[in-house]
Amino acid sequence: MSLLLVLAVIAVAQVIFVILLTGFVIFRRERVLRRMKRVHAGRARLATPLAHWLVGSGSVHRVADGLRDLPRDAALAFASELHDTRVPRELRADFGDALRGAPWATRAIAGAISWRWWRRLDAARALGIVGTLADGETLRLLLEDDHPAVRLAAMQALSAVDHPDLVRVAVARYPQETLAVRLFISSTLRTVWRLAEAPLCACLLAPDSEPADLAAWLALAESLNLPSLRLPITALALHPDPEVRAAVARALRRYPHADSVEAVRLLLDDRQDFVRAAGAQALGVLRAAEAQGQLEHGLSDSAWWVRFRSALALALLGEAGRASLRRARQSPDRFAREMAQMTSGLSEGAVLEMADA
Amino acid sequence: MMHFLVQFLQTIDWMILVYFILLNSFYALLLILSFPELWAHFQLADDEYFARVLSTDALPPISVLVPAYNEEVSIASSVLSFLTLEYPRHEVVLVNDGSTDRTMEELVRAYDLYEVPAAIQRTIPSAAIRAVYRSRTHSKLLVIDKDNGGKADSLNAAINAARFPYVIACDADTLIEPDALLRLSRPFLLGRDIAAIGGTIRVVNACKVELGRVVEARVDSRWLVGCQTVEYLRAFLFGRLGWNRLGGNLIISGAFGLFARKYLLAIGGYQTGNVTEDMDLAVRLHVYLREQQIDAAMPFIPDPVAWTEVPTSTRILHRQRERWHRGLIGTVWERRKMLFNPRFGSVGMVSLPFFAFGEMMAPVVELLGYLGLVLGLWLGAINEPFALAFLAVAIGYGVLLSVWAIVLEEVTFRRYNARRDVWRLFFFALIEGIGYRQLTVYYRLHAFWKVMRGDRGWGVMKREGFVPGAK
Repeated sequence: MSLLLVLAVIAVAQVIFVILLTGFVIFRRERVLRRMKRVHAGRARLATPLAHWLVGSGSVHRVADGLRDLPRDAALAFASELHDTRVPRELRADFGDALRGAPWATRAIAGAISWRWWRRLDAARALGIVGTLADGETLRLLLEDDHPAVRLAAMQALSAVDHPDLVRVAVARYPQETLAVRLFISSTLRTVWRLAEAPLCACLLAPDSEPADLAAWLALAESLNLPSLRLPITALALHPDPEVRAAVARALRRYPHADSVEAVRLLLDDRQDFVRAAGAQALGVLRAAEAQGQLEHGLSDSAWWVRFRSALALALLGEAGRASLRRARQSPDRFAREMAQMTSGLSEGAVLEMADA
Repeated sequence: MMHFLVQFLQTIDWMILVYFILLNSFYALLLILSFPELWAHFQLADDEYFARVLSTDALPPISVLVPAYNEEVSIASSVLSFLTLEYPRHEVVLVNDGSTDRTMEELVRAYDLYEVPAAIQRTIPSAAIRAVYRSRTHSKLLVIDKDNGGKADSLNAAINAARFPYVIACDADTLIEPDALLRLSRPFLLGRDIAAIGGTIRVVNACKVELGRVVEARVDSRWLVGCQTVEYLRAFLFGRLGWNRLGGNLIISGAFGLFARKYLLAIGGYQTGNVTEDMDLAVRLHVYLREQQIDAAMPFIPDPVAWTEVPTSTRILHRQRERWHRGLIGTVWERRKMLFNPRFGSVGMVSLPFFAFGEMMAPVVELLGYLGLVLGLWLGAINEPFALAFLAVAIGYGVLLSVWAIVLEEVTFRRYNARRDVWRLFFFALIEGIGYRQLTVYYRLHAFWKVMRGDRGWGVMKREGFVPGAK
């Protein structure tokens, strides 16, 4: 009997729960719809002052006032969206200054020391809009946060804060991150390249760096594409570690210069096939016509990737390279013949896309 | 004799009660574990911020693998939807699996294909490749024409041909949301080494589809489809999210899952003899990572969405569920040595035992329950009010879980905008336990029968096609 009673109680509880949950869904749906209406109306009201400010005929403070009328999280989301997609780089400092004292921004930044990671994420995002040099310590905390999303957002805030020490930290930590995060950091560091140049140069020239770290910094140097980095990169072309040599070849693709071509041509004779492949790819991107003979030779390489990269590189060399590929289609060497046949049907756009991939 | 039978029935009933309590406690645990997961994903997926971050060039390139068999009607538009996915860099590797209709001709015509030498390193064995094509109009497209070998075999050929470090396996008839690849890639930016990522599959029947995109999500009013819609919500919104926390996600859907190519090559790709290749692949991947002591994650994330058509007739549903269950039985049987083996970590100690006893054996236990109930009532061996109350609680618990799934959907992603659709979801959650559930029990029991007979066929999945408006 008691067990039956337990079951009856559970059944009644289930019914009550289902009713409560249904009610919750109905109530919440209405609330969300009302809030969405309010946010949409607020955003629509902002359109005019924003347009006026962007063309130079209005005040940024009217935009700030408009954002103040939105719910806090919607204000942060919209400000962040405007900052990243609408506000030109030269107006971002004004935009940040105008929003700096807004209650939603102050409250968001105060969340930098919250135990809830999403509050710290909001703080990092807010600093990305309104951050100044004075926020350096807060941003350093967020850059070293446990939660990767917070670290990413803090990294993006670097461009707003322009803090040399923080950029140095970011460059030094770069090799410790995973590939995707590194690529993201590169895109951020490009916006503060002036601050990143010196620390990266120092990292590339440091005599006791680990090969894996060097390869990562070379990738960063490739992404930043700063003329001052060409010499430190070229100096690593004879590094004993093949991963570093391959990274040199990849990085030099972005540094069109006679010295770059010379260094990469050396790598085309490397013992490691992936270094030769990276070298062939770089020569194509650099349009190194003087390397045509070496690339023709690469069509008969024992490694598929070297043949593939050589063929694409030849296709990038214009008519002379295409003529080499046509000749290779009649070659007695089966590897060269097949590779030439495979790439010669590609359109110029396809070659460009594949050669740089 | 009668006394013995009564005793036996009472023992069976008690065993079923214990099984019910254990299984549903575990479901409750999954539900509880799914809350923080869902919240975290919701925080990252809800607004535009991460979408902007994700659309930088930081993401690794991805090869989209599309096996196709006799898809002449929809192949051109399907391929276009894959080619136009929002992602910084991706290629589409389509494998024509020896179609007997005009799939290949349609591809050649639509994408101006030209034959190139089959310069593909065949690390994983697959059926003979007839020809390889590239497109003059879309450099992202590679088409492989091969002898028929089944979906797993086609995926293996595509893995061999893929250029990029991550591959995503899709069905040609699956509609992937334009931003789904970007969303699926979020774990990369969160700095995790990734072996595989699963996304959500939703039911497309009755949704408004334009140019290969779902423009309005709707819930089908038909009983069979509606029940499956609720079932999918339940499975993806809390089932798989809960497993994230337990570290043993055993299903990365074959219709929409992303994998690190190097790990797929290391484990020899998909197993061609298995009728549910996705679960088998996930288990082998877990084993490989464990054995090689590789700390790579296999998370499920809820916001990247692919839409798929579900069966609209009981005949087709029967085939599908029977095949799924046959695959589950096959995988569990093949990996039986992993059960409760601490060497395989949470997969051996939690996931596989759950799939063996909680999923695979569930229809058998449920059948025993129904038989025991009927016999017990007939013989007067069990208390009638107790039996009925137990049945009500069992069905009520299922309803409660489904309603929770609807609540989770409402407080997070809210794909269904019309009130009518939410009411439909509630309605199907209420009625799913009576009729639909028993049908699927029967289909899954049939799988045991087929396994005993050694049947390894796939059966045919007849589809209605996507409609530009609601039915």
